[in-house]
Amino acid sequence: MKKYWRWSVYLILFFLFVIFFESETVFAHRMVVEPIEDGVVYVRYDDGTPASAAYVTAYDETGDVLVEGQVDEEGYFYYDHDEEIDRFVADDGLGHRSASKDKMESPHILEKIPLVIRALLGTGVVVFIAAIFSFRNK
Amino acid sequence: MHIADGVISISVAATTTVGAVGILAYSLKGTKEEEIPKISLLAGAFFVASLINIPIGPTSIHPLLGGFLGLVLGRRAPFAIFIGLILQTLLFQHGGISTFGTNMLLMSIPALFVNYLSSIKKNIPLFLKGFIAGVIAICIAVFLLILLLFLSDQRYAEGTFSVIRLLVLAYFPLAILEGIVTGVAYKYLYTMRPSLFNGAGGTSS
Repeated sequence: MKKYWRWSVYLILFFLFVIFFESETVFAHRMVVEPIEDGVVYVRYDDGTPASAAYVTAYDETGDVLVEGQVDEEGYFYYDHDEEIDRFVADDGLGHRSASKDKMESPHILEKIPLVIRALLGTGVVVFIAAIFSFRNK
Repeated sequence: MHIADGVISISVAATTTVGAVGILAYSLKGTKEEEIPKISLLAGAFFVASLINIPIGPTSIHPLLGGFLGLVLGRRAPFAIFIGLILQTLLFQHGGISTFGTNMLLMSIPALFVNYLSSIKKNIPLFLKGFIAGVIAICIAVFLLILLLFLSDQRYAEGTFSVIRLLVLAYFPLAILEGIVTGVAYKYLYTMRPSLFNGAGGTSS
């Protein structure tokens, strides 16, 4: 019983350590495609790192490819196209892939919740389960 | 390391999901109630570790803890990974729904392999054992990721998507880092509480 409390403390300290040292940049590891303005798309990981290996493809509503190409070192993709682009898809070849509706995509409901709260929620769930079973086994 | 929706083919996703279900069943079989707290807390560590982002080369990576989970939890490691992945998918949108089984397989197999190696190689210094476990777990995970990408789409083998070039570049530093972290953690925990590495389907060292 006692050892699991110690493990819970270790886990919470680990969590605080991660949040403290990554507080400026910490976000989940996911790729994000952002149409910045007409002719410019920005691709990054959501820790803020530019996805410089990403390859961007723009599609129209019927799924036909309108334009495609590699982003630059800073994660920007510049294109020159007059037709209406429905969505951009970025793939970095490392298993990350993301799609975005051109300027119209509303953020996922969870993205409105601060990451720290989400991380606390997840940590709280596992500590709670550990505590419940520790008491049962007492 | 989390594969997103749409990256791998449907057949690969379906096959790996079946494999993941099998591994989860193997991991759950015979689980005792007193093992749940340890499994749960290490699932939490796995969940939190994904918040540590390390920008390397053209990508951004995070620790996987496969070697550590394999050493501490043994055959229960996939169970902890399953819980951690659910939380990551729900709360951080890591990976994807269709690739959930693939991601679980990708992270569970290295942990199980480390557990197997640990059970047959016992007379190794503690730090070295942890270091090897951490490095091997990353190497196996990267190998599996390359294999799955190649099976899904041949374009990953060429030009811009030359997976081997990118993955080796990105994950070699992580393998070393995770080896050191796992080595230190394993040595410390084993010295403090050797019983931690017995039971829970784990290996006795």
